[in-house]
Amino acid sequence: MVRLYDRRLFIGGMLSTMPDFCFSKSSAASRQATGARRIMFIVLRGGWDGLGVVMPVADPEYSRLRAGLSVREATSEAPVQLDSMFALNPALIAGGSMYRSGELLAVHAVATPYRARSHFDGQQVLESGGASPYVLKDGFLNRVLPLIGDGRPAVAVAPNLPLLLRGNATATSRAPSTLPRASDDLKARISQMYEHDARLHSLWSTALDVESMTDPDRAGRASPQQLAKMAAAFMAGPAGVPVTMVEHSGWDTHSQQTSRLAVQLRQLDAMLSEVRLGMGNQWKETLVIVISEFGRTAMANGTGGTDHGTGGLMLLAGGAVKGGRVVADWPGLRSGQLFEERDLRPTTDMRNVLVGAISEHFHIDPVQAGQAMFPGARLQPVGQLIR
Amino acid sequence: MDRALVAMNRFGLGSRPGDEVGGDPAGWLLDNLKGFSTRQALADKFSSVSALSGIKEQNEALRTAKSAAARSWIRHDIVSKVRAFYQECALLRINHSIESEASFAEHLVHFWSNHFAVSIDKIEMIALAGPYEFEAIRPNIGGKFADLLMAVTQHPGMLLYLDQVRSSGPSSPLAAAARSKPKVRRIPGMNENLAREILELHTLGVNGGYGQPDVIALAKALTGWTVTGYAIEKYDPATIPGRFVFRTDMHEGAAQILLGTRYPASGRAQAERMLRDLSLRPETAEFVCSKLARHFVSDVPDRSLVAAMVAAWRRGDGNLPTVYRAMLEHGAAWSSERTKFRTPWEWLVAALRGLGLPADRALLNMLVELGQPVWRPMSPAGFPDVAAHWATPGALQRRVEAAQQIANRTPKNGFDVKDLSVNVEHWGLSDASYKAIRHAESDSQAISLLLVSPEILYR
Repeated sequence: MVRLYDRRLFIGGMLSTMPDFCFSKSSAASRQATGARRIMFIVLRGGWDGLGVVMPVADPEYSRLRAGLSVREATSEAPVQLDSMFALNPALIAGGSMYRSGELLAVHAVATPYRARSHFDGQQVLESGGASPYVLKDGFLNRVLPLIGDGRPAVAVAPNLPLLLRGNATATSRAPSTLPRASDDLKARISQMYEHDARLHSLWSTALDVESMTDPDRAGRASPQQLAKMAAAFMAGPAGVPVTMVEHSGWDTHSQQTSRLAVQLRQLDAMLSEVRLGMGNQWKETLVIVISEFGRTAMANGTGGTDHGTGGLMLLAGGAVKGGRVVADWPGLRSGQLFEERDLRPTTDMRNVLVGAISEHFHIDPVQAGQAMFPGARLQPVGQLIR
Repeated sequence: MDRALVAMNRFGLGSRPGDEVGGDPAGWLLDNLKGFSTRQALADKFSSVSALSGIKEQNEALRTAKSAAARSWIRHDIVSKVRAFYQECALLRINHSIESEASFAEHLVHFWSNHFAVSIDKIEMIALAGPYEFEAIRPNIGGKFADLLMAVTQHPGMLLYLDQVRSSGPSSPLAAAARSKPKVRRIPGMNENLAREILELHTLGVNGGYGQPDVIALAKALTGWTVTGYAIEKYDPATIPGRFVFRTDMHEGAAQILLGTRYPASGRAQAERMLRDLSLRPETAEFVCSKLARHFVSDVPDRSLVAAMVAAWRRGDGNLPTVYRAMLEHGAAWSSERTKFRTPWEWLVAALRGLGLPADRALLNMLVELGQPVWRPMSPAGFPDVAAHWATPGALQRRVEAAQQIANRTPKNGFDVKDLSVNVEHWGLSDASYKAIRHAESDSQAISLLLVSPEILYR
């Protein structure tokens, strides 16, 4: 069995002889820069309320629609003005500071092609990159790995491997554990026991390979901060993995939204801080993408919350981002402007942002990236997102 | 796997030393339902009312507390009480699963509990998740699906989890009264979460042919379905929280059209009729039977197996034992190949059953490390049921580490793994597994290897 680190050197040697059409026309220097670039996905499960995070305070309908969900009730601080239209929920303290230093970019009124408001199906579309649920069974991020991973596996810092990273390219899940490691002797005997079991043999080999690459902090339970810290630990350094992801739940705020959303945002904020801290000097090569399956209703519901919606918010954070702005083709919040008279109308296809960001970040051909990530889709990648 | 092993492992919760199935494995499994004790011991101790007792009083104390220090102490007290209650309930569940002689019935409880999933994400749910399973699920696994659905939907656990308790109809007496007042901050309104999940997750399934108007219709019919102590009401220390109650003043009280059928206004009976009709729809039969087949038999269940189960559902109007019998009488159920990767829960229970070890808090907490804390799927869709989710490199490594922990705790003189002449048949071990275990350097290592052998990881 060839250990992964041997394979990496082997592939490294191969790369220099590969024809140029596999990569964008770039110099050797930028190919090296590709090797330094890192990306981390934060998948928020539950459909986070974009309108409550990057708030269109200057929209004339906003205060009427969201009466009773005022953020001032949850925190003692006022929202942070981002531009003439939007203000940032004050629970995102580090997020606000990243915005001011040009390291945070918000894209609003964005959505996948999915329109039916079921978490299950919405997340399937979000992660698989299919045009509708269950058309594709692997993750869009896994499909683009061969273009950006140069053989290193992707890592999901989670107890199990989410759909976003499932597929043919090598990816694994790792999470902090309080369980002591298995002894080397036991591990060897297990390898032998699995020799003729195709399923377990391949899982076990990958597990050992990933373990050999890094020795992340194993103390304590998996708080959101720790997951983010582990992800950064996996990515840091010249031999770090280029692609990681974490997930975070609890965003389905049907009731008591003001306080619950504040709690959630503080956790997200702490995650972003941990990544910036953990990446150190490599923060300028790092791109963090925050996505969720859909947004929520424009109007508050009868129980102090919001229901499943459509148009939502995504965030790009990192030193590699051309931030300090909100990108939005704002559709307005009047009844006739809402999608099905209830949701923020999506005006930007999330896939265009994802293809644009990933291809720019890794210097790869956007057409090729788009075909891998969203096969069959007609795309218009958004540019100028990355430094 | 021979049929006895299939019965004990695929449908039961794992073989125990000395288990005997006899000549009619399918009959043996169905008999589980007869001898099954539906009420676990200590019914009153673990009821919903006792789960919630004290929380309301403490919430009120929190509201009227004079200092931040007092508030902090009260909060800490509430949290530690509900956590202790949860731990006791979870321990009861796992130890009952380990000891049970009717393990197919227990397995069915776990299946239905995951189908009608709640999650301990809210403080009340930490206390209620156990009572919910004991009160709504357990007594109803051997009757009609409609009765199970009704028990679930009227249980405080589900009503609290899916934000139903304060849902009021737009034209309800309560909403009308609020609107007529001059200075009102918030009009009580409707919440569609429970209605949506009933259609999407519990009955028809997301492709079951319903639309947004149906969600609204069911949500309106469900207004007024609430829980004492948690509805829209002033705090009253005399109220005993934690019981289902129908509040006419919160109810919408108009005719609704669900999936083309008109349901006249009839108070609580309106939604009850809707639920019964949903239980009988072919889409519900198809969706639920597919889930049953996927859970017990294969990630990609045989189409003819599902069809046989659906036919049985329709013949018996959703009588569940008829459906179980159809599953157990189909050839696909008895394939000798182990295709289902055991979830962390299934694996831990099978391991402890096989070793004859009781569970304690430390073993229970391993489920957190393995990614499946009891009653915490974090979604009303429950824990996933396919290998793509559970069988990953990192997760496998966690199992190995967990196996090591279990092995360390197995009493030294209580279990002789080396004496495998009995155990090979007992576990159905392959030559490779048998060899690895036989050549282990210690009993402890032998047990670790046994627990991560393909024959234990898969069923």
